[in-house]
Amino acid sequence: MSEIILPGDKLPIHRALVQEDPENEAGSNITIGPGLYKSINSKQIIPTQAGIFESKTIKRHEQLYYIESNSSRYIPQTNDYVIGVITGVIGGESYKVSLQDFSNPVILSMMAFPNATKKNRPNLQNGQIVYARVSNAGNEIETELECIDPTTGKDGGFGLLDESGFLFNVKSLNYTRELLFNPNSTILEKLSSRCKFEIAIGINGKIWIKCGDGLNLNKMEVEDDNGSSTVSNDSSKDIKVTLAAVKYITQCQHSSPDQFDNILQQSFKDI
Amino acid sequence: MSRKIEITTNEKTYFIEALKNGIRLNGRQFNEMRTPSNIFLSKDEYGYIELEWGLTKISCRVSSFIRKPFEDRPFEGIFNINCEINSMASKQFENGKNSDEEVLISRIIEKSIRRSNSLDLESLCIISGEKVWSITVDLNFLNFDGNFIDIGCFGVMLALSHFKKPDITIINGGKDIIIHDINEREPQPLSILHIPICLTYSFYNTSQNVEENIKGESDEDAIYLLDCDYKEDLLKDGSIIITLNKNREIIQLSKNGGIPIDVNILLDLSLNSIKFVNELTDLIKTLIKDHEQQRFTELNLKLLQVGADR
Amino acid sequence: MSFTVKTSLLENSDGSAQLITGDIKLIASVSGPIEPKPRQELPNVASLEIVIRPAVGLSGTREKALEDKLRSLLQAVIVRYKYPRQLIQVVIQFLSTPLTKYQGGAYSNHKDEVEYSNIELNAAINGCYFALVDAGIALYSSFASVCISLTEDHQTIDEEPEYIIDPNLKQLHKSDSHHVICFNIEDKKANKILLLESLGDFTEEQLFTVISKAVTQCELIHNDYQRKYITEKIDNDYVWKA
Repeated sequence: MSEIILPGDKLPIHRALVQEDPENEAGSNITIGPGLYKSINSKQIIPTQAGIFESKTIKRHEQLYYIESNSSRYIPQTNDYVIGVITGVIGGESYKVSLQDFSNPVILSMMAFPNATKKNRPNLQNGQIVYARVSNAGNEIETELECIDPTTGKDGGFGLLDESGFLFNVKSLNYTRELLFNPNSTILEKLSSRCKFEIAIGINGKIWIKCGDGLNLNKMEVEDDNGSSTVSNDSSKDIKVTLAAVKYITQCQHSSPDQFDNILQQSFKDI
Repeated sequence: MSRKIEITTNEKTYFIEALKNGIRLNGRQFNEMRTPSNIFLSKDEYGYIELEWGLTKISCRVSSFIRKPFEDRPFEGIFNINCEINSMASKQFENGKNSDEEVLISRIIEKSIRRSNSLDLESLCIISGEKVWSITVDLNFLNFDGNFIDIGCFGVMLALSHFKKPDITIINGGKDIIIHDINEREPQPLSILHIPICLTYSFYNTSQNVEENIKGESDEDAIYLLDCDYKEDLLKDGSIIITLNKNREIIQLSKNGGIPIDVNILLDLSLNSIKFVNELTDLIKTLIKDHEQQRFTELNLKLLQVGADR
Repeated sequence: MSFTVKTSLLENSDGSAQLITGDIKLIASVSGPIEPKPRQELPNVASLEIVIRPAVGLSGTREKALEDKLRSLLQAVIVRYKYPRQLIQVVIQFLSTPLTKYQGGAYSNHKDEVEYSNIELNAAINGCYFALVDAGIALYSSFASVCISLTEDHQTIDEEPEYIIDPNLKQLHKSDSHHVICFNIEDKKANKILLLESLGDFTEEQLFTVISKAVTQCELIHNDYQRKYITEKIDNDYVWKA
């Protein structure tokens, strides 16, 4: 079993590897992940966050070390999948995007969409949300996003998340990582037994979910003239289902796996 | 720099659509309040409380000292409420800078409690023109999830009811006073004349037509919600704050801009509010009563009382 | 010395902790890294915004002094190079202090303030640690702080003075001097002094004794309390894990 590490603790790594010498070939085989920091002065690898220490061998002679921990403030890393909120336009060339309230804004170039050209630009409004990949992140430069799959040049599932779905925030970022990356997680599987849904999980703590057909705003307007009651009933059910799903996903964050069924039952009891 | 919460179009449309279907995103009824939870009444201090109301969390402390009264009001004690909101509650509140919202919150709490004379200031007088009690309430907002006004007002009233000031004796023919230690003599509760309860209703206009919103011609589309949470607070088109007490008196009523409200709605709201006012007033009373009872048994005051009765 | 700690109790803060120690109860909240105001921004490191709020009244010069002391400490433990041009916001709200407890909230003067403000500093440092860890802010090392008072018996000379760890207000009044010492803790051992605040009359020798006592105390806080509460926090964070 992995152990709990606090900032300042000695890492259970072989000493020769930690005191890495830049000229020593053997020392270059360590990759450090989140929670670890290589001190500029002492050249030592130190833990900077409290969490569970994990070490993995990627290849022979290549070790990956990181600290698995939870936080609520998202720090962008390249290749993360995130949900961003459009908050403005910068210089007519790119969008200003917020990944989390009060965090530094990031940039989404208008060219970073499939088939985008100078003439054919995406048309996004303030307040709309996009599913995107962090294409460039670092401390010294502004973080950039793109809504394009770099290998195929197609949308690859990225792009605008339309208004038929609901967006909500999850405080624990480790929980969103679990939902997105752990294929064995039963949380969403259990949910699928109660309703049909489409979901987009951003590991910046935002989740977009659409249950059933979601909100169908256009249909509403058309049929408003000849009696809207039937239509609104439909959408009323989907709203209820969506809110129940949101409640279920949010509550699972604070409970152990054996209670998931119970929470599901509770959340969907009125439907 | 804009320290504000970004609300997305998805949340907004979903919220409005849900309202049209009679659903609140938090699953409550339109006129349903959250119930206060985790109420903590300090056992070793008088006048200190903490409470949670949904995710909103506050703490409130009452303190007192003796000072000279104001020249023009020699018979009256002094009563102040401090409520500064800092970025702990939510990052939308800047430290050391009073935003309009913050000023509004503290003004209304002040208006509801201090200016309605809910605390009997004359009973705080010790020697007229010389010595009076000065009572200060420090209201701290720890976490923001909407409706600071109602919760703050409730918290202050609960803390005032919980507070006791040390007993005093006047000696030397009114020249000097002795402040008795609280362990030596049972301290005295404050004289509270009535308990004001604030209720905030937020208004939403679900009609698509902005023109009509402004003119207020589409009353049937107006929806009002009681005790809104932070998301509902961000999306509101207007609000009205009614302060009432159990005697069915309206203490204050404020409506700051936003969409116009029909008179009939206002009357309905006031009448409906009575139910909540009674509930909350009774809650304060039972909480204090239970707490007194508990303190009584724990400290074994019964023995003392027997002594006093004899 | 005893600690009661609750973490992650405020929804809107990235990290928060409630600490009860002795007569002091406080809530510390940490948010960051977030977007700073233009005037706060530093080009190569994170800037710190520290706010301390008293249990009674509005914050004044006393709180500003505490904020300054805390700032110098936090600047030394937070890996500020990791968050350039960003802001870390620390708010400490005192809920109960020895003064509010001892005099039943009814006090007529504030003459004891200077003396007790050091115990407050001590609690603020310890509370801050849990909030920072809860927020996942990168730290060079752990840290713990202790307050020790020193009372000399003036009748008998050459007698060892009495050292009280974590004194209450009454003991503080009787003492000749008191000291707040904060150590950084590396590999479960107290390593360097991060902060030392002393008030009163004392000799060099006495100060060294105090420091050596502080080493054991800080290690005790770290190994007995910090480790326990943080393990609890991490278990809570991963409660959904099968």
